[in-house]
Amino acid sequence: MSKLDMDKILDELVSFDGISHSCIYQNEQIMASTFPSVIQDKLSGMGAYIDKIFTSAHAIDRNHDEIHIELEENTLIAYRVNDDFLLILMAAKSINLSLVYMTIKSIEKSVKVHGITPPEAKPSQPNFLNVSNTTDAGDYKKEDIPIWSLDGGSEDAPSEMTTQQKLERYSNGLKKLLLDSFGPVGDIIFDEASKKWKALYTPELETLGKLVDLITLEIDGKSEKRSFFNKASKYVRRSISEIEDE
Amino acid sequence: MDDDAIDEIMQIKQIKGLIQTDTEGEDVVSTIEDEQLSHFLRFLVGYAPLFEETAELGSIKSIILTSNKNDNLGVFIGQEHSLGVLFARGCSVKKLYSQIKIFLKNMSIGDE
Repeated sequence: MSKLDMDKILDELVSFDGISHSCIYQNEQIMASTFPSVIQDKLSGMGAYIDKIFTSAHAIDRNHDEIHIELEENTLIAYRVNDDFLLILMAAKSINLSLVYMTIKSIEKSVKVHGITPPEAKPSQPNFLNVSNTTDAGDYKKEDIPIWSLDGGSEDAPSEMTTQQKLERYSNGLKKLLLDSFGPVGDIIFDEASKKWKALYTPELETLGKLVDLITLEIDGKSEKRSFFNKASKYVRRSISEIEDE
Repeated sequence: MDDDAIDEIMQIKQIKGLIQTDTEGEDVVSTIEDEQLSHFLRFLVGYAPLFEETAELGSIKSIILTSNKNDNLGVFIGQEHSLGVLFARGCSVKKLYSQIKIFLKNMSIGDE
């Protein structure tokens, strides 16, 4: 996992109400952190202690991967993610633990899906994935992440694009809708649905509606399904009519 | 903690075992038969002051470990005694705390 990916994970976590700081501990060092500088030098010691507790639990065949250390005012919560790294959070005692838990699970799955090295940049995803090549990860700021526009990031007008480029442009547009609504989980949802789409249908502009259906099936919650389906259907209709008008 | 109090705590559906230790980590009361688990809970009690020293974030009131595969376990740290608890997987930390709060109070552990 790149420094940029780690910073993005931390950035998302501290955006939740009740989480003030977070850091990632791996191989006896702090890989990324949003903790104030005054506490930075203590973090690796804390990470080592927490790691020792998990290791000791595993030594007696206990598979605990979440720890809550309750302090006077706050709770320090740490997760062992994929037996690979620790995600340590400073949280309010009133924190919605289910919200945090589900986010951690999505991070776990995302790390499993994409591996621990950043995925290679593909032509269809230039803006999002090229950041690690063009930006110093140590100077990462949230506003540095270029966001796909709904047209998939291509600067070419549709009339100048090949069919394949159009397909990439519009499927990336759907992915952008998902990322806007669900954050990093959207990435996982899209990958799952996209795999099924490619297995069941010929990936072409005419079957984009099927991709929308498959994505909708992957989304939990009636209102979330409906909201995405409406937005995505409108987007696909508009895209198709754009092509027909050429 | 007297036998009646232990019986009362053990009546709570989600609680599967407990261990009360003194400041030196010696058992005062224990209903946990798994010796390794007892060692681990005593280890957590002993580890708390070391962590406090390293982190300098104030005193630790409790340490809880949760899992999808095993029962949860935790220790509530007090001045004179600490209470280690083995509780059912899926039982939330908040729910556990609300159920044993009165016993923690009697042992001078927790907020009061």
